[in-house]
This record gives sequence, C-alpha cells and structure tokens, in this order.
Amino acid sequence: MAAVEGPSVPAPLWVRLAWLAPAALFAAVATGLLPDSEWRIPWVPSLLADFGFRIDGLTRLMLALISGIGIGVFVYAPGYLAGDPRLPRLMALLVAFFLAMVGAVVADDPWTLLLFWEATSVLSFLLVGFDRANVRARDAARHALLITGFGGLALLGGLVLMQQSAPGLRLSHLVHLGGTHPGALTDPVFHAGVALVLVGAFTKSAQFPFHAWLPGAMTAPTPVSAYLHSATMVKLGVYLMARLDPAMNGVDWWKNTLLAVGAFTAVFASVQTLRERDIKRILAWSTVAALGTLTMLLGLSEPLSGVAFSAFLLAHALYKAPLFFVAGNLDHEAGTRQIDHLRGMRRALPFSAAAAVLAGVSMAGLPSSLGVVAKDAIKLAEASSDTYWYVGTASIAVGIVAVAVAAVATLRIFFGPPNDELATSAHPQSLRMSLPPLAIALVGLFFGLWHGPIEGSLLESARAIAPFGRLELEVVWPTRLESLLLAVGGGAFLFWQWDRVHGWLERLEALDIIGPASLYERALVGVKKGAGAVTRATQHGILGRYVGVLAIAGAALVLPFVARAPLPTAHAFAPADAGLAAGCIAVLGGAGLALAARDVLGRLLGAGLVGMGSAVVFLFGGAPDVAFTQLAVETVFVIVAATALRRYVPAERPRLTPNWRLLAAAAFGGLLSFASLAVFAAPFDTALTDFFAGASVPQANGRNVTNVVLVDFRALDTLGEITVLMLVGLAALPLLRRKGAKEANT
Amino acid sequence: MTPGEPDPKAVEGQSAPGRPAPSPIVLLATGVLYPALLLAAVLLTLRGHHEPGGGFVGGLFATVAVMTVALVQGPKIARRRLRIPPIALASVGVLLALCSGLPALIAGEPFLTHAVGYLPMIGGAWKLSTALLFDFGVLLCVLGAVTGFCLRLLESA
Repeated sequence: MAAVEGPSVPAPLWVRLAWLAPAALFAAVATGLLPDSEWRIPWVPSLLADFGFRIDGLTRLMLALISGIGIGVFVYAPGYLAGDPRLPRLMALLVAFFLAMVGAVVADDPWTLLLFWEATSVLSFLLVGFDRANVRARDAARHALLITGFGGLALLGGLVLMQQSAPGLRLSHLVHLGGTHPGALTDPVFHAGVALVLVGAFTKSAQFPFHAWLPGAMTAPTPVSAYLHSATMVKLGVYLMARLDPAMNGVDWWKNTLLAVGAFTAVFASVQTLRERDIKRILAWSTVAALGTLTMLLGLSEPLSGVAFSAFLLAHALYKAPLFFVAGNLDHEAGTRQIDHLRGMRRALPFSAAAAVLAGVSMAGLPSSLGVVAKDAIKLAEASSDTYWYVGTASIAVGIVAVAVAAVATLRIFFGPPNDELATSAHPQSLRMSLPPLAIALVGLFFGLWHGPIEGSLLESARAIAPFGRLELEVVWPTRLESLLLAVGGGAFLFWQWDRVHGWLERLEALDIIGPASLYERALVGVKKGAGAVTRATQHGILGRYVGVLAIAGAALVLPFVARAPLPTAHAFAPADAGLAAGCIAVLGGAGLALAARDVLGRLLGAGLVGMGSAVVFLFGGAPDVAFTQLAVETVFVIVAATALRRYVPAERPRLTPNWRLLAAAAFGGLLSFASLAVFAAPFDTALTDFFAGASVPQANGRNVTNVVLVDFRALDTLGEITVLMLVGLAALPLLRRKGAKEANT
Repeated sequence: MTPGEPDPKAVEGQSAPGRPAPSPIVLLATGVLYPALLLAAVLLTLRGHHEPGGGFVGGLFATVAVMTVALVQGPKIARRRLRIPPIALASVGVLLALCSGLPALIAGEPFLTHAVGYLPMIGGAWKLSTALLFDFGVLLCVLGAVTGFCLRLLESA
C-alpha cells in the first residue's frame, strides 16, 4: 500500500513517541522486573471467574516478543504512513492491539484470556480493513473476522466445557492438573472442551483448514502484517496450545492431532509459498508454514518440545518481522511487490538489503541461527523413534522451502542488475523505515551466534511448557550437518528452478477449487442465497397469510395443552347482571358486524366494538382496572389501525382461500375458547392473590393491587417493558419515512 | 417539525393548509376533548395507587388526546401542541422511572424500593411517593412511543 497523495499532515507527538510504551515494557522484561507472580481481582465470584493474571517464563518470552517487535513496529509505522492523515488511527489501533496482546498473554483466568483474545480478533479485523476504501481489504477483513470469530466461539464453548469438568480451572493449573483437578483427564467432557479450545487455537494460528484468512490479511498495511500476522497475534493460538500441552502431552489424540495438523499445514503452506509472486504473500504463506511447524513441535514428547518451541517462536519473529518491513520498504520504493520486477534493489535500499540478508540467514536455519534448534529437536525425536516418519519429512520439506524463500527475498530481489523500468525515488528512505528491520535482524543473528544472554529465558519458558525432565538439547552434529546439507542443497535447487517450479505449481488449480478458501467463498454465497430464500418465503407481504400462519401455528401450540385439560363444565353467570349482558351483546354484535362488513374500515369498527364490549364485561365483572385499560387500548388500537389502513393496498396475489380462512379462524378461536373454559374449570390457586392483597398496603402503601404490582413489586419488569416500548417507538421511526421529507424528524 | 419551517397559518383551532377544513362542531369538540383527556390522564395516574388507574392507562388517555387533534387538524398541529418531540418524551419517561429507583439505592435498599412522604397542604396532607414518579415515567413513555408511532404513520400515509 503506497502512501496516498494529498496534503501531508505532520504526525502528532504521541504518534512519534508511541514506541516508548513497548520500550518501557521491554526494559522491564529484560531487566528482570517481572518475576514469577500471580494476582487476581474478583469479578464474578459465584461463577468462579476472576480477572486473574500470572507471569511465568513463557509469558515473559511472549511479552519480550510483543514489546520487542512492538518497538520496531511503532518506530516503523509513522515512517511508513508519513504525512498520511490516517496515521493517528493506525497508531491508536496498534497501541490498543499491543495492550490487548499483553493482556492475553498475562491472563491466567480463562475468561480474562477470552476477553483479550476476542479483543485481538476485533482489532485485527479493523487493521486488516484499515484501507477501507479498498474492497479487497474489506473482504479480507471480513474473512479474518468470520474465521477468528468462529474460533472465538469454539474457544468459549471449549472453556465452558472445561470449567464444567474442572471448576475454577486456571491456565496455571494445567501444569499440575493431576494435583488440582484429579478427575479431569479421565472425563470425556474435559476432552471435548480441549478439542473445542484447540479449534479456536487453530483458527487464530491459521492451521489447516482455517488458514486461508492469513494470506488474505496481507491487504493490511505492512507494519500490521509484520506485527499481528507474523510476530504476535497469530502466535496466540500456538501459545494457548503450549499452555494446554503440559496437561495433555500424554494423551494420544492430542499428540497425534498436533503432529498431523501441524505437519500438513506446514507442507501445504510451503507448496502454496511457491505458487505466489507477491513477496508479501510469499512471506505470509511461509508464516503459515512456521505456525504449522510450531504446532508440530508441541506434538513432540515433552523435554524436546519445550526448548524447541520457545527457540523457534523467538527465531521466527526475529527473522519474519524484518522481512515484512523490507517488503514494505520495497513496496514504498519501487511501487510493486511482484518478484518478477524486483531485482538489484541493493543500490536503492542498502539498509533493507543488509537487513534482508541477515534475516535470510536466520530463516534458512543456518547453524549460526536460532532456527536450527527446532530442527535439532525434530531430528532427535526422529532418532529416538519417538514419532512418525512424516514429521521428519515435513520438517525437511519446510526447511528446503524456507531456504528457497530466504534466497528469493535476498539474492533475487536485492542482487543482480537493477531493473531500469522501475521508477525509484531519488531520496533515501527515512531512518524510521530502514532502521527497525536492520536492528531486529541483527538481534536475531546475534542471539543465533551467542545463545548466552537468552539461554536462561528460553529454558524458563521451556520449563513452563515442559516442567519435567531434562531441558538441554544434545546437539548431534552429524545429523545436524546432514539435515543442513539437505536443506541448503534442496533450497538452492529450488531457488535456481523457482520460475519453472512456480509455473508448474501454478497450474495446480485443484488446490484452489477444493481448498477451504473456495469452501469459504461458497459458504458466503450460500448464506446469502439461503437468507434470501427464507425471506422471500416468509416475508411475502400478504397480511392475510401472516394472520393465517399465526392462527394455525397458535392453535397447534395450544392443542397439546387443551387435549390434556379436563372437560370444561357448563358455566353460568350467577346473578344475571344487566351490565354484563349489555357487554356480551356488544361483543357478539361487534363480531357479527366484523363478519358482515364489506370493507376494511367496517371490519375494524366491528373489532373495536368487540373490544369495547369486553371492557364493559370487565367493568361489571369486578375488574374496573382492566376495563379502563381495555377501553383505552381499544381506542388507541382503532386509531392506529385506521391510520395504518390508509396505506393499505389489497394484495394482488391470491390470499388464503375462504376454506383455509374458515379453518384457521375456527381452529384458533375454538381452541382458545376451549382453553379458557378449561382454565376456569380447574381449581384456582389463590396464593398469589392472597399475598398481594395482604402485602399491598403495608409494604407498598397502595390499595390498587394491580398498580402496586406494576410500580412496586415488579417495578424492575415494568422498567424493562417501558424501555422496550421506547426502543420500539424509536426503531419504528426510520421504517416509516415521512412522505417527501428526507430528514428524520421525530 | 423542524424549527426552520414556520407555518404562520397553523395556529390552534385551525387546520393546516392542504387539508379539508373540519366542521366547526368537530373542531369545538376537539378543543374541549384535548385538555379534558389530558386532565383525565393526569388524574388517573395520580389516583392509580389506590383506585383504578395508573401510568399505563394515563399514557393511553393522553395518547388519545393527542391523536384526536392529529386526526382532526393534522399531525403538524398535533406536534405543535405537544411541543416536545414524542420520542424525547418517551426517553424522559424511561429516565424518570429509572431515577425513581435511585433514592432506594442511596438508602442502601434494593433498586426501585419506593419511599413515601407526606407534604402538609391546605385540605389535608398530600401523599408523595417515588412510586408516583415511576408512574409518571410510565405515562410519558407510553405517550411518547405510541404518539410518535401514530403521528409518523399519519405523516407517511
């Protein structure tokens, strides 16, 4: 995304200094100001839910990533969107994301985690769709939100199930689950919960078949891609798996699922990597491959998984973020991200070239880099025949493609003769854009050469994932050399033959047709079609049919109750009251009028007379309150209906046939009459009447029990009802546009 | 009605331009019914705690009052006589009902526990309660929501 033309707006001070926030956190982590600790704030004690937070080795590693890469991103972003009026919005969203991410990794209570987890999903949606004028950005944002939102629901369901099986479960309990919740691991409900949580983690970390949103999310501005969709947010899924792993590592289905899904995702994404020409999408697919590798690593046995996972987590962030920054710089400088046009860029972008080379070395997994530790772990697991053959094979395939991608991102783009057709800007790129990738890549390579400063942190993190057993990895030099030769040799070959392989793979359209991405597209179209069909079938606009459906459905609902009710006995009005008789005559007369009337207004007046007659019946039947209300309601109803009927146009399509109408009316009226007679026949329970009659005056100072119930005993219900009434009134206004007036005038 | 469109002809007792003039008898009846129904609404609400009545019925009576004017003289004049936009009335009603529960909260009792006080007046003490405030909130909400809906229906027809 290139900078937009238009008036250049200077960045506000807070935007320029935003990097101080992650810098402060990074300093706190690096200087050991955050020791292992727990703290809790009560939230809903009856549900055993607190705002619970905890810091341990894995949390510190994640915090170091979030803040460390965060410094780079917060320095880079103001340079990337320099002069763009949207820059403050981007920075505000990025700062909010930074806070949500910190919250998610320090959360100990599952609901606290869920809260921050969902916040990162929503912020990711807003950041992917940042360029809101671009339809592709909006589609990608919706895709990301639908998939991760679905995953959030799965996570919620899974956490609920886990809580039901193990009440009060916190993430810190998972390390010694046998001690805190002994029965949980034998409970199928707990396993079902873990499976749902795993689905949530898979969507977040773009595991197959939920991976397709991540390459699409590359429409986001580059700082966002580097931060959310490579270094931090997508790691949240594997982070949660790492939290669950100590409890589940001995369980077969867990291990096998992680190994199989991780390996398949890694290989699938590696193949997809080779089918792309856009450097950013190449990096995105290779991120998916890395996430698959991380998932796979967690599936290995405990002492191996912890160290390898932590090292690779760190290594990947340290080489992928600089490569994304470099991709952004290329886009800025050359106006394209297509690798066909980019070559010899080292003259125009010397700093980026240096950063790309340094990061490329790490990515290729050369012995001097952190990434090699992960390969060692997989080699060791294979050597001890601890795992399946395909894990090793997948690892080799991913390694080869990683070498090839590293070569493309460095050699192909930055070296060789420059492409003279590309119009490159004359002035050098700002320090804000050239420094962060170089600095992060340097840090990555430095730690690769000298594990000393971070070894302790990595081991602490590993202990959080694999608390038992040895943690040191034996480096087996012969196997390491063998795998290195294989990866570098294969990668070099692939790099040499890149265009041929690419052309060959591009024709593999089957991957696109049966893939989950096309499934998503089809589901999206299907939902719209389905909704349209349902709306057309139910919202036909023919009033007679609505009434008919309501009457028949109502009768069907009442029928089972009426069938079981005692037969009503004949009911006589004890003293033949003249008032009651007048009311009954009015009701019957009104009904007759409604039947006999030819036009709508006549029918309405007949119906109104029925209501007035009922009011009279209530008045003489001992319910003056109801009579008042009935009278007023009836009057207002006739007014409303008469006003509405001014717009009434008789339906052109045939309404219900007379026979159907007769059936609906007879069924509904007959059954309801029967039901009310049956109610009268049953003995009347006077408990409530007695209570309210007795309590009305002493407790609420009112003699009118009906009113006392409404405004005092059940006042909260009434408050809810009038709120709904107000909202309905408000909602109806936009539906009823004033004729000829555009402004909504209440 | 927007403030920017004055209508000098539309005063009480007349009809808006473009409508057939209502008969003098109907117009006279409206002139009497409007205040009478509003008074009835207030009285019904005031006595509601002891005798038949209450805020809901009061609100409906007030609605009938406004709609009488609207049907005879047109929605424009009805709005003018109402002065306050109906939906604002409804919102104020809900707020009033909500506020009537606050004293109880301050006193440490459950929300919406009503309190009663007696104000000495000529002809005996007047009974005042937060329940009455609640009932007037109901009145305003019913009046606002239903008239807002009906007036808009009339205008859109």
